[in-house]
Amino acid sequence: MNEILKLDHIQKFYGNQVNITKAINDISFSVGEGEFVGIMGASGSGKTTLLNCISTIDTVSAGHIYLDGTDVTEIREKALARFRRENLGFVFQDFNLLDTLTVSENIALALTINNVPAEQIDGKVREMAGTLGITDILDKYPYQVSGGQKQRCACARAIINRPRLILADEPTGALDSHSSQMLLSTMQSINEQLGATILMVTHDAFSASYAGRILFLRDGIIFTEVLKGRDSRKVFFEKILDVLTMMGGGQTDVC
Amino acid sequence: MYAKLFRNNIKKALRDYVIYFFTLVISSTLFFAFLSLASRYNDILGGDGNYSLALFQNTIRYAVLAISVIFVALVRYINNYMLKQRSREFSVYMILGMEQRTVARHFFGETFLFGMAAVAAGCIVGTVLAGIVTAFVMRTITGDASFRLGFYPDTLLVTFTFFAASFLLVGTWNVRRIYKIKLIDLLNEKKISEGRDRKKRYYIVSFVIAILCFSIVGVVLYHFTYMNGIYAGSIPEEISNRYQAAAIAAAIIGIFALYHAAAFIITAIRRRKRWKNRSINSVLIGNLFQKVSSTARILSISTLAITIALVAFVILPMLAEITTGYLDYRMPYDVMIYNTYMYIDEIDDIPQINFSFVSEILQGHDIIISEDMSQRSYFVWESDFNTVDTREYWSDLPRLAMRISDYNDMRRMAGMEPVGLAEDEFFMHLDYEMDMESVAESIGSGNRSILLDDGTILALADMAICNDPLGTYLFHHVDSILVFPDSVCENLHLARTCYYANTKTAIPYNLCDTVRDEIAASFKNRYPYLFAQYETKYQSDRHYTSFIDPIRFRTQENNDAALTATSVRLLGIYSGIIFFIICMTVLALHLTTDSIDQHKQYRILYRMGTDREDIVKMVSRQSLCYFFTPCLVAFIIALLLIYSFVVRYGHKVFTYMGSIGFQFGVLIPSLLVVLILSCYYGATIYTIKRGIAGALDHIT
Ligand SMILES: Nc1ncnc2c1ncn2[C@@H]1O[C@H](COP(=O)(O)OP(=O)(O)OP(=O)(O)O)[C@@H](O)[C@H]1O
Ligand SMILES: [Mg+2]
Repeated sequence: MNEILKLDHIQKFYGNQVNITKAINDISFSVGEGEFVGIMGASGSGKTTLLNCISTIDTVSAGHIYLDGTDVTEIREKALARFRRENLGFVFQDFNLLDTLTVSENIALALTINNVPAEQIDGKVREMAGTLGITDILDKYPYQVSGGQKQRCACARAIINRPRLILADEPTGALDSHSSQMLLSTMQSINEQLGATILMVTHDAFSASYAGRILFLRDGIIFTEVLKGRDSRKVFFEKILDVLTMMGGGQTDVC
Repeated sequence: MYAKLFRNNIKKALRDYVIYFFTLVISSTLFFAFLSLASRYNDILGGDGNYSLALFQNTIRYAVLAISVIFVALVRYINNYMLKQRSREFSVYMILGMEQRTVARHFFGETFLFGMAAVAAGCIVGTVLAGIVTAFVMRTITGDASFRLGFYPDTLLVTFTFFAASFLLVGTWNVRRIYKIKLIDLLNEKKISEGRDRKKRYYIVSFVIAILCFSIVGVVLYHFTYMNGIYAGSIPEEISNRYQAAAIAAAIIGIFALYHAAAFIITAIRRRKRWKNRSINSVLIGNLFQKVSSTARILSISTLAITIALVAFVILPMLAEITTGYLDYRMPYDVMIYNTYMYIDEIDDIPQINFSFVSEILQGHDIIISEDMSQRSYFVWESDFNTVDTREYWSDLPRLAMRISDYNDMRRMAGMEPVGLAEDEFFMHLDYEMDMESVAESIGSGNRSILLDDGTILALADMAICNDPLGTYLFHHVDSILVFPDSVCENLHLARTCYYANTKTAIPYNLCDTVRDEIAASFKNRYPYLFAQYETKYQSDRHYTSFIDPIRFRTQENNDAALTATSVRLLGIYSGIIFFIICMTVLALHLTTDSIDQHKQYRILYRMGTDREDIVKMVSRQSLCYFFTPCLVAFIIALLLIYSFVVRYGHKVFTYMGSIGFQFGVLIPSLLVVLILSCYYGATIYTIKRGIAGALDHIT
């Protein structure tokens, strides 16, 4: 299996010498092509920071990140933009939709920036919206739709280009169990059929159970790692719950 | 490819930045209209030979350009603001893979097009305003004020170039900024709170400073008034300058400190429980001073800008009027020709000039002299004569004396009663600009008689000093001249001969330069030895002037003085409006941004059961505070400043204020201020209201 992402002792500090926050305190791991990795951890454990660093939105304080073999901590801006455009899909914790554009325009933006011919855009947007169940809100503005709908719109925008690497920061946080299952199965099918690599942050053990491997973060380091292996999703789900209970931060009730 | 995005953005920009657009339109309108006065294509240039606008046009051209440099600051402020508003949008583009450079270029292109559209609109409106301003200038010169629309291609070019250059400058700066900015910072830009709030001690100190500064202002003004009593109405320039500078400096520091202190006091009041629970009031005050230091900064800067605007509106034209008001004093006669021995090395080379050739020259141009005279000045002591080599500095010249008969002739020609002088007496004729009281005081304690070379002793007459305006050049670089009995002057050595004439009809403006040249040439023909001996020798001297200089004509001086006053008045109005609208724009943008940041708060209030009207009322009240506080404070400071000028110039201020001054000093500025203020306030409230409506309607 090809290694698409490799983190080599990365650190991320905020603040100055006097008042320093170690958001990431030495993390190393690698992700193979086509893997579906879940990231869990208490609030403030550094999950968003980690994704920001991987997606090159933020820079690391120390260490190296290799995407597809290239060290993104040293790459030029132009090449980075190209990488983001062609290979990366990012779902934000707080959506980051543009209020001036309708839902469909928000989704189409990703295609436009990727130089997709104008006549193909509409079809692609409709297809993706159909999959995620947001067809009837396509012409509304983000402030006119619900939180869950916004989240699905953000997901659609991230995956419409069929990126090779999807970084999702709590993509199911605002969704009911039905919508979240729809989203997760979409992600799973992209993962399985198109071979996209997915890194998904989640607080919810059920969502996490869709992944093949879970990294547990605590205080800026990887506390532990759980593999699904040949287990069924149900078994994996129990395993995740066990770890969460052990870490003392997870949910104990099952849905 | 990005066409739709681009179009959407422009549309949104137009809607959101209506205020900025409006400001740009007004600015470019004014810029165009005022600059059109300096256009080659402006009708007023044609003239009828009785006046000339060359000086006026140059003043207007360079002053307008200089004042307008402040636009760069405005454009920069607004672009910063836009960048901040749109940072999240840009970060999304970049995360989706748009290159930083493309984003920067987009931003630049959009703001540039947006700005140029405003300038184009401004030029159209400006053409109409140009007609009005031109008519206004024509009225001051010729009394005829007909409105005509003109086409000024050169002004159009300058306007577009100027604004395009400003946008380019700021745009380049922004592009570089976007280049360098980190994506994460762009993503978080709106979350970063501005104004840091400082320690309590800091605010207490500023409170003390504020009180101290305003006490200083009070004491200085009190003292200044007191000094006025001592100097009987004409305080020496230097002392005035010192007092006024001290008062202004203290007032400025005071304003800055005051706003910080006030913000702190109000925040402190808010912390009191009783206030906190009084519903919407607490929210109002909380919002007002949420960011104490940034609010204080905005308010202080606006106050300062409005003060400058008011000063430009009222005080500049007033000063112009006061200084050019001495015209009668500077030009009591239609023609004035002065003579100087500055560059003559031998006392016996000083010529006895016969000015009869002047009337011949004038007659040659059909100008009839109604009365004229030659006036001679003498060395009080022959040893006073000095040359370029023996002078300590170039204008180190002795005080001269003149005949009482000449003196009375000069008075008569200037329309004044003659004065009498006994055979053994003398008196001093003092420069009108000098402070008579203090000179009188210094004479009073000194020796009151004078011993001449031939043994004659003259006593100071009872009147001692006279200072009626008889022309500034009479004194020849000293501040006074002595007036002796005619018989005494017979024995003194001649120093200079000057010539004054009044004519039956005014000398046309365009003729003045010709006549001056002819007089100079004719003089050269008559006294060639002077030029042979000294011209080549001293020509290269920095202060060298010919032996008859200056030659002045009332037409020319009147014209230039009137136009100077007009240009100062126009420039006062121009810079006043510019500063005022810039300040209003900054306040309006600050308020609308704040309001956008507070939408969430409004939503919460609304959901908790507050009436929509109450929310709107609250926001309007808040905006009112923002707009009127700086205006009020600036108004008070301007009043204090005007008061200090009243003290300084005494009755002259009131004479001016009473006549033409009312129109320009009070009426036009007040109208403009009220108009601009209500426009900006209205636009701000409208924008905010629409924003609130949007926020409340889309509750999610
Ligand atoms: N811009 C910043 N400046 C300073 N500290 C920050 C900044 N961003 C994050 N932090 C700190 O870094 C740590 C990790 O934050 P991060 O956002 O990665 O947490 P998270 O795991 O995503 O939490 P959550 O589950 O709540 O989203 C936290 O302690 C946070 O306070
Ligand atoms: Mg997070």
